Amino acid sequence: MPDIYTPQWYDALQSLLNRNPEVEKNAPRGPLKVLAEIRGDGPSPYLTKDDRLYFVVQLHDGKCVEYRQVAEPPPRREFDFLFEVPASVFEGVAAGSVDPIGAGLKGTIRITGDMRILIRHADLVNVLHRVYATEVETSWPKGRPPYAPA
Amino acid sequence: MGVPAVRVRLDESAASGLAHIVQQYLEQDLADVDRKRRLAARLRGRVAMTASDHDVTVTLAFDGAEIVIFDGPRPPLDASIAGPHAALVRLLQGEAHPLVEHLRGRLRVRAKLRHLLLPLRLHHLVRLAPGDAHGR
Repeated sequence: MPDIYTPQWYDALQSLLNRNPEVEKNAPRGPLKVLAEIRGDGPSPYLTKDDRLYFVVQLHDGKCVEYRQVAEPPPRREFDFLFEVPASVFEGVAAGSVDPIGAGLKGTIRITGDMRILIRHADLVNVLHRVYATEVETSWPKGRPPYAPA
Repeated sequence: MGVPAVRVRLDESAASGLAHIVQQYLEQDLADVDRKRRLAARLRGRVAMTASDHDVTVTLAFDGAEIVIFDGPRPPLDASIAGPHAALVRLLQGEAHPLVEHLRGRLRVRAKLRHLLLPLRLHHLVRLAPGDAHGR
């Protein structure tokens, strides 16, 4: 069971995505590149306030070909979508205690990109949520969300 | 002759994710689809859209030259569409029709008498056409 935000954790996620036929079925054809920017927001013990962590997820024809953390933020124009997520919210999604759809609609998760892709493939978000919430086994060495308010 | 642009903007106070999603979506789609730009230029009125399972509402205000997106219901409303977010997504995907969904009880669609067709016109504007090059 890998610790959150470790290379092993990203590898485990990539493997889970590639084993789930619903991901392939619901993903757009061709390449889809997503940049996630996780922002330290206080409650998370994994990122100090104002820290930034970036990871790249790349799908191609529904297969996850890249899922890794990057040290520096790549140019945003390289990406189809940018997700800006407070760390405690992202970790809540990873722990299955935060609904990413609600967070996206309320604006806690900020999404930038081609919304036509997002709308056409909205079911993919549900599939990814299920993967995070029920299939990923994550170890939480500094504590598991939900956290007490900072 | 080209179809004039219709500006799509967020009200200064709009902070919800739904407002940002709708603003980006309309801006992208109107930039690419002449037919939708023509339709948007003809629309007048205010429509509220509510994702009832997440308690998030946005209002789209059409005046022909621009579309302004507000958070929450912004009176005076001429029409409203409310339902679970999944039902709203099916409308946007072009997989469902507002009147059918209303009759089946999956959405609540309302309109003032003089704006009876506004929800249908809004649906024509916002639904993704099957086989659209965009949205892959």
